[in-house]
Amino acid sequence: MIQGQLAMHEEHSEEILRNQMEIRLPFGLPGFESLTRFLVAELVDFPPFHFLQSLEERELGMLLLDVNLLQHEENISLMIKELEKRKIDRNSHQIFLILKLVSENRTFTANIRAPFVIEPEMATASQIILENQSLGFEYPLDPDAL
Amino acid sequence: MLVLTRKAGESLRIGSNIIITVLETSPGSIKVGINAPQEIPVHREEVYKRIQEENRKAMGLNLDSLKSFKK
Repeated sequence: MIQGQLAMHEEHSEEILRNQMEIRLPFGLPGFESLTRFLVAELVDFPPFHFLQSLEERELGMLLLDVNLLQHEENISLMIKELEKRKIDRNSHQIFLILKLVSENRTFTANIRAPFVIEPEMATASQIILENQSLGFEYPLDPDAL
Repeated sequence: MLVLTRKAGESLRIGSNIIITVLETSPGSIKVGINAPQEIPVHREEVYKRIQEENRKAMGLNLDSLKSFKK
C-alpha cells in the first residue's frame, strides 16, 4: 500500500493508484542515495501524473510525468535524442520527468536535464544526468499541453 | 583528502577499473579523461549537487497542489 504523500487517501489507495510497479534504483536518487526501493504508479485521480514512492521512507514521494506526453516540444525532443545517444529509447524504456511545484503561481516545472528512466524488463530505474547544458532543471510546464 | 601531483598525459587509477587521465592543462583549468565501467555514474560535482537540490524540492510535493491541474 502506498504511503507518505498519499497518506490522506490511504484508505482508498486502491482507487487512486493503478498499474503499480516496484522498481529498484541501484544508486538511489541524487539527494536520496541510500534509498533503492520505490513504487511507481499511475494516479487515477490526477491523470496524466504518475507517483514515485519510496518503500523505505514513508514520507518521500514525487510526481512524475510520462515524457511521451510532451514529445512534440523542441526541448523534449532534444532530451530524447540525448538519451538515445546512451542507447535509451522509448521502445525499451519508460522515460519520465520529475516535477516540482512552483508555489507562487501553482504551476509545475520539469527537470529535463535529468530524466527518470525505468527499464521495465529488469524492474530497475535511475535518474540520467545529461551533459547538454541547454536542457534546463526547471522547464516550465504548460497545463494546457497535458 | 589524498593529494597527488600529475602532469598532462599521466593517469591515476582508482580501484581496479577506473582510470583518470590528465589530458591538458591550462591556466585556471585542466581537462581530464575518465575511463570507468558504464554502470559507474560520473558527473560534474556542481551539476550533481543541483540535481540533489531539485530532487529534495520535488520530494516535498503535496497532492493538493495537483488540484490546480485537474480539469
